[in-house]
Amino acid sequence: MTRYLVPTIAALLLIAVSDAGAGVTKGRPLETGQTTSYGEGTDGDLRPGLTRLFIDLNNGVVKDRRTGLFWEKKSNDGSIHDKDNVYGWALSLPVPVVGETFSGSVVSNFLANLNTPPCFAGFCDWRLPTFYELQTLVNIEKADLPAFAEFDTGCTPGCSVTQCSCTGSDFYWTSSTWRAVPTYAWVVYFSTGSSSARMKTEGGYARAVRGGF
Amino acid sequence: MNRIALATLALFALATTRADAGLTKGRTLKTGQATNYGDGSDGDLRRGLPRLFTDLGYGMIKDNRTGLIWEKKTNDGSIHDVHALYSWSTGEPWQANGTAFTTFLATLNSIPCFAGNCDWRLPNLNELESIRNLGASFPAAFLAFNQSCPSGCTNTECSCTTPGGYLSTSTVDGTPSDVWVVRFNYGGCYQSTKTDLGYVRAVRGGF
Repeated sequence: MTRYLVPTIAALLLIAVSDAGAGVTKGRPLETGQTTSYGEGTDGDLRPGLTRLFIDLNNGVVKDRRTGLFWEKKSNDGSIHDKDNVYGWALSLPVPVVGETFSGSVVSNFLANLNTPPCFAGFCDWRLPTFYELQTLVNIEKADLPAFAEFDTGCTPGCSVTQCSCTGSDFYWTSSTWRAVPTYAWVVYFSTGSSSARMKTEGGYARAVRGGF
Repeated sequence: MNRIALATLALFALATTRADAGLTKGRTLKTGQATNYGDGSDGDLRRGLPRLFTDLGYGMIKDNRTGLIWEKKTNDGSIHDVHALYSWSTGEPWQANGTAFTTFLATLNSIPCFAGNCDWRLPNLNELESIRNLGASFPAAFLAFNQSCPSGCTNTECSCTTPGGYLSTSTVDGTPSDVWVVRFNYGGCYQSTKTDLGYVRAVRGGF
């Protein structure tokens, strides 16, 4: 028995050690999606970054196998997942004070709804993505709606998250605050792919995420 | 014999699991936000891999999370000077033939090459965005890229970042005259005409 146990343990240890070493480089950049080349050394020529790989879990959730994040699909059915729902990041306090705290309808309505048992897709830890997490969903090769196909498929009126996948063509909130002006939060525009900061009391789209690291 | 087969099978299963785990190598990085603006906000949860940079000497900084090796910028009037501006293209048909390629990269990659490496390139949009620090502004850079930048300092003495727009290699889809630019004042990105001047930071490795 020990004859096999020793080499097995040794092999296991070796794998564990090599993993710990490789574990340092686990935040590799992803492909931007650009495939058109504008000359040698450009993005479309070199295409650096990890290739993208998404899996539709068929329960309204898409998993990104590169980042390890689970994303909520958006629908077109008037439900809590509807792509046209807009939420505020912070509460509007008496003029002229604008709130800085994460307490708007994106928390009290959207996330609260998803995280109320039995919870969306059976998970009660849905949250708003950070600025960097949300930017991983931008596909710059698609100017009209810069989203990957897994987030832009068959978005016909009335379709639910298990039937289609939608992306609203405007800005989405992130959980990251603009440090210079804390009454603003970072947003990603799924109309152009660019990003900026918007006042927290404005109405914006939201896509929930869970998991990751 | 059966035991050997069993052990092999177990190892095979383990290897398969590991190949599966290997898929998740593009984990998102921490934004750097440290101020908490409420439960569930970025500064509260601080999701993402913690950052780890190593100064390799010779004017290079390694990002241990992304695997990318970055050029340090200086304040000494050399080819690495943080204030030097370059163009992406000379105009139609908007190919990569501006001074960012013909002067900056050409100089770094001329033998014996910068730090002995002749494969310097410009980063694409995602690579360039990976070194923004949302916990800082003017510049929105991590300490490794923003350390005492007095006039005349070389890349073994300092590390500089200008709070302006840095050129990426990524073209705006549908608008071939425009390129994606990351602004290191606050860390946002925007689209700029390829003949406009921008700052540059070379990168290598990472594939």
